[in-house]
Amino acid sequence: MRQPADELSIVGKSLIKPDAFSKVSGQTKFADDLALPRMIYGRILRSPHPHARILRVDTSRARAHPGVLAVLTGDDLPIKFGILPVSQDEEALAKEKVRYVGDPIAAVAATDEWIADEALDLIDVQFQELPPVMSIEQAIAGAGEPIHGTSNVHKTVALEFGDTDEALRAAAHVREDAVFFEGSTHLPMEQHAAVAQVAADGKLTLWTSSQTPHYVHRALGKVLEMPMSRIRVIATPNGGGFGGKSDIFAHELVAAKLALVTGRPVKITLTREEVFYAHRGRHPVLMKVKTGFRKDGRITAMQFQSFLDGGGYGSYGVASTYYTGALQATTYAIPRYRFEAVRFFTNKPPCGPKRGHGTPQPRFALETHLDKVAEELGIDPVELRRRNLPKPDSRTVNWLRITSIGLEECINKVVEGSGFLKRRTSMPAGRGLGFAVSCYLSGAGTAIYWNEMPHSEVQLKLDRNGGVSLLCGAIDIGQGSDHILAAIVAEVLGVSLEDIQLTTADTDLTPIDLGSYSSRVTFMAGNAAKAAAEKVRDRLFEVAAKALQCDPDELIARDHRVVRRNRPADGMDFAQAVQLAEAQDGLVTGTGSYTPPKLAGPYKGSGVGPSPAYSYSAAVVEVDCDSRTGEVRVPEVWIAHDIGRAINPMLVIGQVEGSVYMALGEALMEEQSFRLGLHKFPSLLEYKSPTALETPIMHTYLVETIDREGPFGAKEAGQGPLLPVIPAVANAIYNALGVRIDEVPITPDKVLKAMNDRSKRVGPKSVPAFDFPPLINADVPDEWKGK
Amino acid sequence: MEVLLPHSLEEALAIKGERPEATPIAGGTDLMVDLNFGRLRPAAMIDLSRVAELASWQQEDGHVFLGAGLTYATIVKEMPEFKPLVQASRSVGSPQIRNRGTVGGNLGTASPAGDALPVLAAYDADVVLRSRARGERSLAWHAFLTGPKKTAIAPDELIIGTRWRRLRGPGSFSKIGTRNAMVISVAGLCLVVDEENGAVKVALGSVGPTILRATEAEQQIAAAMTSSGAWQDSSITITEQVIDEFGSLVAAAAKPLDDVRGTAAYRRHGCRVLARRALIWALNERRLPAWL
Amino acid sequence: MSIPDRVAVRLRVNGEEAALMVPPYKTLLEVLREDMGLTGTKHGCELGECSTCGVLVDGKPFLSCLSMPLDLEGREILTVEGMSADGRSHPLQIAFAELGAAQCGYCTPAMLLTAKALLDRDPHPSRDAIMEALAGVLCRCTGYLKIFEAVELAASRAGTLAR
Repeated sequence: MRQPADELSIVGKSLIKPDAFSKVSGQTKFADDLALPRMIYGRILRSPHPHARILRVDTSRARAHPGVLAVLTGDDLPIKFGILPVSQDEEALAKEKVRYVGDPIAAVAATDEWIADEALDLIDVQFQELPPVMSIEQAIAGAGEPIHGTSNVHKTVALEFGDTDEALRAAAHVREDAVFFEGSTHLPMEQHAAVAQVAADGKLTLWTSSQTPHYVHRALGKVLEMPMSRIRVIATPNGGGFGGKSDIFAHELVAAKLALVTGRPVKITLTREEVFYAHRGRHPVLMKVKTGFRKDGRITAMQFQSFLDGGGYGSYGVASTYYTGALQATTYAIPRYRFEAVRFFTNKPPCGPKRGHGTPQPRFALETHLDKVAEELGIDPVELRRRNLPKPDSRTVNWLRITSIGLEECINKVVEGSGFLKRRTSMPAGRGLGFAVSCYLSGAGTAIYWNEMPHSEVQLKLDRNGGVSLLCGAIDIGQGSDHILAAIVAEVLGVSLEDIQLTTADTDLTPIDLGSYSSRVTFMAGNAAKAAAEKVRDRLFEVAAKALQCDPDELIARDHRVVRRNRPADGMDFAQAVQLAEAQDGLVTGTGSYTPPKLAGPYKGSGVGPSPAYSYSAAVVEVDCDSRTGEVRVPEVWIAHDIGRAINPMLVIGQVEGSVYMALGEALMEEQSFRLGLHKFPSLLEYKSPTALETPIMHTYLVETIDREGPFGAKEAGQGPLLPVIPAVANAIYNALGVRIDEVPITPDKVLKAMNDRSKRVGPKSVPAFDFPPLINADVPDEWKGK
Repeated sequence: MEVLLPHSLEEALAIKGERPEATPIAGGTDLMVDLNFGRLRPAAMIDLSRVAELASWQQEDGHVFLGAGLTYATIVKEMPEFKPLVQASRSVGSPQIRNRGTVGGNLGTASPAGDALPVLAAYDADVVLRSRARGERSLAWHAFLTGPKKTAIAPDELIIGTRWRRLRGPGSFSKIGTRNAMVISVAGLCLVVDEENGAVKVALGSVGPTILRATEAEQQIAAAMTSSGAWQDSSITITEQVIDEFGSLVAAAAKPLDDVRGTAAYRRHGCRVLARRALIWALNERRLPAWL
Repeated sequence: MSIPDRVAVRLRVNGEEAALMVPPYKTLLEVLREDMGLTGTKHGCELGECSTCGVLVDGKPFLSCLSMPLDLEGREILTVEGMSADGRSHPLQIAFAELGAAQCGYCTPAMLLTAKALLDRDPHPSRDAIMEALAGVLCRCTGYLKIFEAVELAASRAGTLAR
């Protein structure tokens, strides 16, 4: 390494991010801020029924309405699509059947949004209503017509690593728990929007508020039957994503088709209510966890079952299903592990990835379960976790490779910061402290569609004045990825942030990045940016060394200069080095790519879970409960996160605080739930998310482990810190009131019910009977054999 | 759609007389929602925000008159001595909504969750209506609020304001919800004590088709205070048993339904808790001379 | 419906007088964004539930999605575009940028304006007063803390950075 850590001048500093002033001045152009000459407006007719057959769609009255330029139905976009190659089950506009309230049926383009709305009312649809499937229990019962195909079972998983039954029989202590985690939605403040334009030469451009422009590009090519080279997708800055804009949405395909049909630019902006139907959020999951322990609290084996309520379509559901079982063993050393899961189709908006994708639900199950076990074993809950930590540079029983682990330090920070061990036994009435830990991925180790190519690519072009153009497919969704890319390149080249000109997420201009999901951009695009910058720097060092008559290895790049490390006066301006290189062999460019190491284990389904590195978090939450009303407030939170290295600590803390906020919302109030087939509250007033008044005092501790795989040692920050907070709230409520709410969200009525019930608990009694397929007995890595 | 902009009450009443189908709008915090949602597409709207006569309040002859156009923010600022009304106003929506929303709007919309309404009901307020043709009339709050989102207003009338006899005695408004701003309450309660008449008045919001009064509870606590001599001597303790019974009677007066915001059982329980608390606060406050 | 009727409106926005012809059903939010090109004002629900569309009218926080332009003639409307003057950012804008109080930036214009109304009324607000003032403006990214800190930082610099 040419630059030791103590010489870093940009990485590690809390600098202002490049897009900050554009955002505070209102200049950032979100998708709905775009207006093109002759632009018209599209609106989508959506199903009022959760489950129905479409008998007839009559658009004649709508077509005749003055101001209407086009009307589309399912016949106009017949090709099915889906984000995962294994789940190509969606139609842009439903043809034969609708599968949730909000399922798109027809679309209108008109000169005015108001007119388009009027035209929607003029479309006559005849439905034959079918009995809806609104819960896991109803899906298992299987009455009525299946939502897709012949069964409501979408995906099953049954894996075993070692003989868990035998290990449980031999355990000194075994406990089993059943818990339920209700679904919730991302609720980005920006509604999804897309603008499509067709140029005179027939080329289509789509601006869209998307976390995954590359996948939208692929889907447009497929559904519109156009070569991808004739389509350009530009992701606009996302006004919040949280996973909610990482799928392919009907309005994107419809806007494109309407632009092709009318020859006019078309904008579709979803209403707030439609955003609740677009969803792809947190799956409701019913879970059972059974764990065996030795007397000293060490885990001998775990059996975990998940039942996912998937909604009307596949979306990311296959991956979500695996994720409910993937990270148990990266958090704790589990010698024998069984994981069974099933995802059902139900007549609700499709579920998909929300911050923590598939892992907050099992995390809630696992961390409340361990709290109960700790009490039974008479070990304090912190010590029980400490006794089960995995080792750095190890492999789990389900073949996940772990590099750095800062979990123990995270635990120490929050336990000491909060005074957890002393205070929890002497809290005033109604007050309680809860503790939990977690683990998350720094990017999925495998791509969504099978290919051998890199997951992220960066291209640099240096201009002769010392400026650097940086091109990358990644889109900033508020997390600060633009800053991370610029900071890494500026650090390597010894220039300042202002010298970096970013062009991102434009499929015509930028090389591929798979998208801003899975906590992968800092890690993967960051590694690609670093590789590109190092390539360019090496070229500059070569020419500079020749001019300075020294060895390239003696050179460093700092403060816009290329100088000899030990004789800093001996050097040249950065721009001068660029000019030398350009004079010698033309335009100075460099590319960098990142492909994650091949880490999948030798079993089917091993593609979900591997990541080049895992982040770790620990949290202590304090609650203040009103035992009369069941209301729970959170005055204070202590959270520590193993970030590997904080490329910009201020931005990392921002991600951690935002995660804590979102977790508290999920723990105490947020739910995407349904009544009589309808979404209970598709509005910002009724779907409760925390306001400024609910903000607790937060103590954030960053733990740096300098991961060997991450760029400058960095790991992820955007999702992991959400995970421990939800179970920590539940554990704190137990500490405060002695009741167990084994069901999220923990609303006042549940707390009250538990207090008045003899069991002092609210939650599922068990999981339903379900015939999982025969277990696939996967081989256990050598180091776990005989343990 | 036409927007009519009267600058005086007289002008507004004239317009409403000629165009009874026109929808009056003040702060717009309810109506504009319906308009944006497409639920409402009126041919004409009468924008009352410039009618200065509606945006004031006065006291005379021991009565209070509150103009229909007074915003919640103004109530919070200008009427601190009306504590329950200020508490209810403060709990409306968010600061932005309070800058626009009016009591007249709450009355016109007649939602059982309107935060100001339980306070007006506890005050036994009248609603003052006026038309150009027939002049002014007053209806008791319960005669005005005829059902969920239904009122007794005539098509050519405007809501001028609300009037009530000023009470001497403590009181409070409180509600239950999962967050502290932007809440439609699961249950809201206003309790006021009328020292002169030896009465306690309790009104409930969000727990029935319209605003409800807990009359049995009111009678029970007034009688208990009479028999114990507490009306004369505020230091006399009201027993826990009486307070419990009061809470139960208030809960029994609620007519809640299960809906998306909460179960009937939880709402009824919420009324009990709010009632007990409000009573204890009021009894404690009676021991202080602050309200005098 | 055919081509909608339009009415004449005179608005004073960011210190400048504008004469416009707009359909009477359009909200101030739509007129600002679509007829005046001031897209810094965002929409989150158009139902008065998130305050994302917040602007200042005569210095007070105001939901542009719930008001009709006709109603605002003669009043002083301030949008985020009017917060900086003479090419210089407002101290709140600087503090928000410095402390990372804008993540996705979508609620930021409304947060800034609401905070400005608070500081104009109360130059050194307590944390509680800040929380109370910002309570209606929903943010999904930050968890609000950095926003509170930025308001406090801007307040602490009053006089040194104020224009």
